[in-house]
Amino acid sequence: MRSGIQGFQSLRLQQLRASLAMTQAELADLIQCAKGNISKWEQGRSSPEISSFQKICKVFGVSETWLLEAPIASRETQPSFFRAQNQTPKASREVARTRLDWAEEISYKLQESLEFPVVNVPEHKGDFKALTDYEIENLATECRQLWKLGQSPVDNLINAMESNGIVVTRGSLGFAKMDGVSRWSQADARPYTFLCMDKANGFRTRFDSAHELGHIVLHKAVTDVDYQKHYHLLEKQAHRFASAILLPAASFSRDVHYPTLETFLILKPKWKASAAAMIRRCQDLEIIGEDTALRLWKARSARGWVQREPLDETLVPEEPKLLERSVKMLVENKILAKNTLRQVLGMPASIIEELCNLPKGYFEQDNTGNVIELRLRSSAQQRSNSQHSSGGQVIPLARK
Amino acid sequence: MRDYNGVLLPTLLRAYNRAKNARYNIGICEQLALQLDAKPTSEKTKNFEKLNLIVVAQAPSPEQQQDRPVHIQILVPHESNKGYHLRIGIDELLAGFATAQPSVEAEDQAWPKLRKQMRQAESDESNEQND
Repeated sequence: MRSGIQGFQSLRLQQLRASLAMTQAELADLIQCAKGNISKWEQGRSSPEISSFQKICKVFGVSETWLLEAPIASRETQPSFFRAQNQTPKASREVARTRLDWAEEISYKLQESLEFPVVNVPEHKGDFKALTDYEIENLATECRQLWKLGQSPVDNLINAMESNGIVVTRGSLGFAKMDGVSRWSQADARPYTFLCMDKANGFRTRFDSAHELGHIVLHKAVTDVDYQKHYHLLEKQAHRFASAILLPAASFSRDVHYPTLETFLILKPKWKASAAAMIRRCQDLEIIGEDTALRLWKARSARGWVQREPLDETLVPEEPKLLERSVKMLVENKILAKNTLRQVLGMPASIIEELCNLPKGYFEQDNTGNVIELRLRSSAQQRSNSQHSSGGQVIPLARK
Repeated sequence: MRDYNGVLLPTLLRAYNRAKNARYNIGICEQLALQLDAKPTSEKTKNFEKLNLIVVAQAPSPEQQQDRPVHIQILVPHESNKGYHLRIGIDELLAGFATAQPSVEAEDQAWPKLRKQMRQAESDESNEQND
């Protein structure tokens, strides 16, 4: 029989612990309880007593009501597509997935008051296993046409994604080998993407965005079972789509008169793609044969470009704007006070600031004067009377 | 086959590039700079050292102004002198480095809007205050 706080949400505790990549034993130490209790609380077999419950709130800096509110996350029903290099720790996936859950929740709550851009994304409806390279190229072209991008280099891909209804967020996880994750939400039928910023490389992040866009366009109908079973195929398809959307066959191939590393370096600022991405694209388009490709890969390696290419530092990573603009629209137009908004969103302030691309400490500055408080999601109404836990030591949740 | 602007169609252009690249048993100039100082280690690198670059400047006819050549061609002949690895005009060479297509900045539509009923509520409230 369950005892303790009624309505305690076990997934909330899982998310909080995962977002810090913390073990159950470490959390048990922090709130001074048995490790077995954490396991039971996370599995929903029991709930914490009031004293432990309050300690959890203090340790993570979250409101009591947030821990009692059912999470809005489609992780159970929709597959999350990870872009990660080999040997990525399992914990990094859980941290990234939790960030995506929270981004989905923030966005869902903000949409109670705000209208976001309409979702305008082409979708592949057939069997992904039968997708050919030709079809992927066509879908990338269709996406460019739909978004009025023409055949030229895309100036800001994240902005193009957000302008067409995709919610993009980013943050540092402390895992350099994790690149990003995306998912279609069941709550608002909108695609979500989280990009990891640990590498701080604008070219890399841009390709990551294009890769996640590939999953959104190509793999809406893919199930979790399919994802586990056909992971490599799905990754390959998303990769091909990313190349095609960033470097369109017709216009990019006109630029590659001489496939040398020098040429790719010259083209790098124009197309905002790495030399590696351009070599791969030349192979895909059969502009170069296997021998030339092999020579280019070897030359690239000999020059030490595998770790870092020249000009990598010249492109500032693109920034998502939609959530930032949404929060500021509510706060600066005095529709909602910062404190109330922070309470409604519920999760640790540092996480909200990071996911919404707000300056650090944004929620610490008060602006409660002359605010007309309008409605957010109905569940938020119950929350507005609650008191946010204060005092105690709060763990900063920015990274491990 | 070319389109009405006289430009090779993309698929044909790619096929043309592939054929052109396959012809060179070394990639055009690829790694040439790095390997010029190296000792030859294979027949391939020996051949490398026999590459010649010829620049042909075509002088204007006597009745024309003589201050600049009419045309400059860059040629890299085969070792046998029976063909060319590369034979292009300087304009074509430079065009390969040009950034002819500026990137397109799509319209920034990533803005939220207040929901209709809220806009209405705000408007009503404002009207009441004015009355």
